[in-house]
Amino acid sequence: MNIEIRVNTIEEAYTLMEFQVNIIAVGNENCVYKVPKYDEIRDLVNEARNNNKKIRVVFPKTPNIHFDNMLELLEKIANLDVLVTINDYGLMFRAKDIKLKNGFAIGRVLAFSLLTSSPWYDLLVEGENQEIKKALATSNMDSTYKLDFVKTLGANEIEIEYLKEVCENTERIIEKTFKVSAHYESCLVGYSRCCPVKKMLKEETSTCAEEIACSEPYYIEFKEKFNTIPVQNKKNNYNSMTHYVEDELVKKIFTPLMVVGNGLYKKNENNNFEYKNVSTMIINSVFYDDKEHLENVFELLKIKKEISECSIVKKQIG
Amino acid sequence: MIVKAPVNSLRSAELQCKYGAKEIYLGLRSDKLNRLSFSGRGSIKVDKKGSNSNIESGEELNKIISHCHEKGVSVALAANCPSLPDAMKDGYEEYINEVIELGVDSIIVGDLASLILVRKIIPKDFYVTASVFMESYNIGVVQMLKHLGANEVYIPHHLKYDEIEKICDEGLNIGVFANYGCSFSNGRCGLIHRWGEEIDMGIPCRAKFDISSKNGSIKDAYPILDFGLDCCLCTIKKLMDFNIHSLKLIDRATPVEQVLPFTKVYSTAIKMFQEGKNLDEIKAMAFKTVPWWENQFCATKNCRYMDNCYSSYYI
Repeated sequence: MNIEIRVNTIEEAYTLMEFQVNIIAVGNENCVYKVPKYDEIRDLVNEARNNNKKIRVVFPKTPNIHFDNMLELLEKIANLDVLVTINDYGLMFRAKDIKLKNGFAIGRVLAFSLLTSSPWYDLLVEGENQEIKKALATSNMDSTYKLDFVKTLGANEIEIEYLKEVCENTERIIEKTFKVSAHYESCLVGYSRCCPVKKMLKEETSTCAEEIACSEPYYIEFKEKFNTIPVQNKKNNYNSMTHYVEDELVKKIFTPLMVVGNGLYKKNENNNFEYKNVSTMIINSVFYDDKEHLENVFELLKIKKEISECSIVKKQIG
Repeated sequence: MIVKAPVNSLRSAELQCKYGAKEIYLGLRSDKLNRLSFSGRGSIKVDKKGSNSNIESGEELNKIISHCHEKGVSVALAANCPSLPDAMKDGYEEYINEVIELGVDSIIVGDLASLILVRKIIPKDFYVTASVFMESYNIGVVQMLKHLGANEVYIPHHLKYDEIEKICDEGLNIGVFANYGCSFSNGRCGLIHRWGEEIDMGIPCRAKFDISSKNGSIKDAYPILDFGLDCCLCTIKKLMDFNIHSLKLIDRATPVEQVLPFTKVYSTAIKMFQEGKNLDEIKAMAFKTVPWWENQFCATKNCRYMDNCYSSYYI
């Protein structure tokens, strides 16, 4: 099992060359402004090679205004010895003609499940039978049609989130010869084209090209519910349109979430189990306050890795 | 350009046809699922008349189809569950086959697996629409959907004119949303509501939140996630110039009385633009038809596709 760390900036990537990780990933799953330029990636790849590490470039979901730039970068890095993760169907479709040296992974903006994305999954599937519950916990990539199609485009790896219910249902993905990589500490709840952090700071995204403001998570806790329009009466009278109300029950269900740039996340607190079929465990440095915390997680993952390797050897002997 | 309106009962279909919809869309309940459905919405009670967000029976659907066809209105089946793992494939296939037999005119799909499956089991010339769940933010996605056999694509809420124009050049019919909409990308949002849950979550992305960082509290009771856009009246002319095929109204989980004002305003606006009327005349019509329109939408600049109160935060 490899350990991969996702970093926020190219500078941060250089500071992690001494760490015991196999892959350092730059770019971002949500935001184009966090994707480094070609020259920066090329230099980083050279440095990583000297340190016996691989570099991964993560491509986000891409609004059309940025599509040509992202496509051009994908073409340029095609011959570099880098790993690539794609989170946009348009880039994925065009990757077929680019023929990336190492193929590509499908990121969790495209690969997800109801269980991993919804903070109130239990509420949504209440009343459904076990078979349906299992299906909705499983990755949306658990589809023969979909896997066969993305294979023709060059995909060879699928990201999942490290939850037992998701991990246990990856047989089909593995059977179809895809590798499975798992996000360890967080689940992506939502992607927005609009940046909540910029809205909160009252800054325009046009400044993002120069300075990345969202290098840390913001924690949000539900306060007031947004109620929708009441039914129009015969006299066309409305006492109030939309309005906010307090709701203790919703507050209880709406678990605290994290905003990082234009991505919304929940903490994965159910990751304390061992699963041997994950080929890469991904951690995101943005969720850790300092390097000490990161090192602790690396240690923990190294133990998981040893357990996983032991169980594989045991299986082979047995 | 036509108005495509949501329907959740025979009565709502009759009203939508009367108020100017040229196409309606609906979902059908499936006995394979309880509160969830194979359409993009769960099954919930919508009004005191007993309407459900998904049509209760094939018999009622049959009556709706007959009425709509009599009025020259086409019927689209929502089969856009956002994910279709293999374990749900057989139930979904049954759902599609049942409604094809009943005579719907098109099918809306919401996932790559559904699109590929539907194209395998329905007649070649049958019209298939890729829903907003496909997150068609760029021409590459539209090219992929065309390659897989989609005829029409609904594009996301937060796109700009220039982007829409380029997407329209790809040779597929393009649909846009007219009223209200989500803050997060449909298809990649876990703040799911009105899916059959028993608790009213409100509109979760528009809620107010207390915000903090590792250094402590930053803001209290702030709608940090709210990027909902509500109106596209001022953009219709330009969208017509781009050859946009349809304006879609949401949502099936709302009493029809709440949707009808939009059906009336947008269908009248299209007609007036076609007759050469200007925007001021159209706005006057809207404000007269719906007295709260100006205050609710214009004053807040919650405008779609053009510069709006959120466009400076677009990535």
